Amino acid sequence: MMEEILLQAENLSYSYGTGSKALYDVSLSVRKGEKIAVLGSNGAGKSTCFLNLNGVLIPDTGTIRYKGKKIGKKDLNELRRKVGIVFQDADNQIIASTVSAEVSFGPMNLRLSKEEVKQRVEMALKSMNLMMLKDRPPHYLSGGEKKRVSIADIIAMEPEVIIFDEPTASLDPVNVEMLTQVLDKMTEMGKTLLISTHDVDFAYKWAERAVVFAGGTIIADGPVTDILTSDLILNQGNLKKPVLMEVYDSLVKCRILPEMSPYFRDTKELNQLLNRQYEG
Amino acid sequence: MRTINTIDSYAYESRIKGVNPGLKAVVAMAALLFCIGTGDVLLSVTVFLSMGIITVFMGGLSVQKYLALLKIPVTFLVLGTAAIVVGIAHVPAGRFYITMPGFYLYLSDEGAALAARLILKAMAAVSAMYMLVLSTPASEIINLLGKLHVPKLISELMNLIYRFIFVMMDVQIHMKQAAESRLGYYNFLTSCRSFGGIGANLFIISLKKAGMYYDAMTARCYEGELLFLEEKRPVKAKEAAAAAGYLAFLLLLWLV
Repeated sequence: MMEEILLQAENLSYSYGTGSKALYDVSLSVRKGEKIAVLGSNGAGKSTCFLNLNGVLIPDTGTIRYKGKKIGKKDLNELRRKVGIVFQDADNQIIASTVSAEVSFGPMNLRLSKEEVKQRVEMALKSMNLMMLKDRPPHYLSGGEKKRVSIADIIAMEPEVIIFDEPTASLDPVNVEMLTQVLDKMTEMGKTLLISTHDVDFAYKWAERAVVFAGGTIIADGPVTDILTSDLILNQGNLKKPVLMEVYDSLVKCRILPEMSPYFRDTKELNQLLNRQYEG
Repeated sequence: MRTINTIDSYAYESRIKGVNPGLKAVVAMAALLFCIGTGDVLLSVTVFLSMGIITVFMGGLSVQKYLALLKIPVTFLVLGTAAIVVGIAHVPAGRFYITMPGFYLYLSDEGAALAARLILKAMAAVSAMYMLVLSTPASEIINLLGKLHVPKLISELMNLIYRFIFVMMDVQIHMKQAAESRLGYYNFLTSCRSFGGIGANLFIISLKKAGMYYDAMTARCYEGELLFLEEKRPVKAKEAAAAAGYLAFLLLLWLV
């Protein structure tokens, strides 16, 4: 059974000021619990689309629906509450002068009771391992810690859909590993995740579905393996094939793996496949 | 983690950071008003020493750092009191004088005593304020102002400015490093040019960042009012008693 559709965009278009269109005719539906990678080169419209989906930017034409309900001017805060964005650069998101005050900013804006805010802040800080740093000012934190704060910011608002704008861009491998664990935890909590990234290897490993942006519109939308195996889409979207897929192709070409083998998403799956092939 | 040696970072490391900021502010302000109001020398010396002791021994700031901070106002004081100490007369006067064409610059006993009292008073006031700012993070002081009914606009601006000082400082440091690596500070002329370029760029980046921050705040349901949860630091009876005792002691010292 298909899960219910949470967020839906229909024929969105948007332009900044007088310039050319940053988005045109974008339609997208997001189902509960999905793990979606949003791919595309710089300036393809990913970030603009995210800001529209969260109600920060108002589309020129087209509609946004949340659980089937059309979002009008009065429902914008409702949309912002249900859909959270973790911005690319934590330094462009953090405004308060201590970590706990920063995390409280979202829940306070939701006009919750002090007790509830306190509880949520604590929960968010705990889930991001930030309790030790809660009285620190943000300018004495490392890059990875700031990223965790910016994620805790959103967790404290308890949205159903969480959008990450290029979360892997400024993180070192250890922090990317941390982020992957956080993402898995969120999926377990039943959150719906959209992540924009340039890292096709990360997208291939993590996502179930991929959406490809190019020139302000969506050029492909489907299961991640289908998208990343299509040379046409990769070309149009300015993307590269994930390394593991190249390895797959080579293994099949050299007849180490049979023609119709399943795709593997990480080295563990590859090893299992090879073991089965040569021991069984 | 990058720590800059600033008053700000000392405040976060202070051991008396947990004390209720209102209590610290009351003690500091009362001591300051005592010194300025009475002008009593003994009181000034007492406040200067006791505030120093609180900052260094209770707060845990190293003596060198504290003295280095005290040096800043001393410079201003020496320059400022010079004008008070030195008098101008048409006839030779005072304990010591210099002849200038048409008049005499002289130094009198009263002038020197006045200057000494003034310096002591000022240093006592400074040490009281240092006690407050070296143990209380800026955000708590801003919250305190909010409680004193300072207009919201001002306290919110202070909050944002405080955060942005560090954001912009970071940007500036990186731009300066990039300029240095391209010999932008090779000689005086190139330094001037790089400095100007960085200044202009900082302005543009500030505008851009302001836009991005606004988007990020809107995304978190910001509606024109900056709301944060404040950390409650209840006044402990022991601390309140110590503060009251200290102020009573100052009062007694003045009366006796």
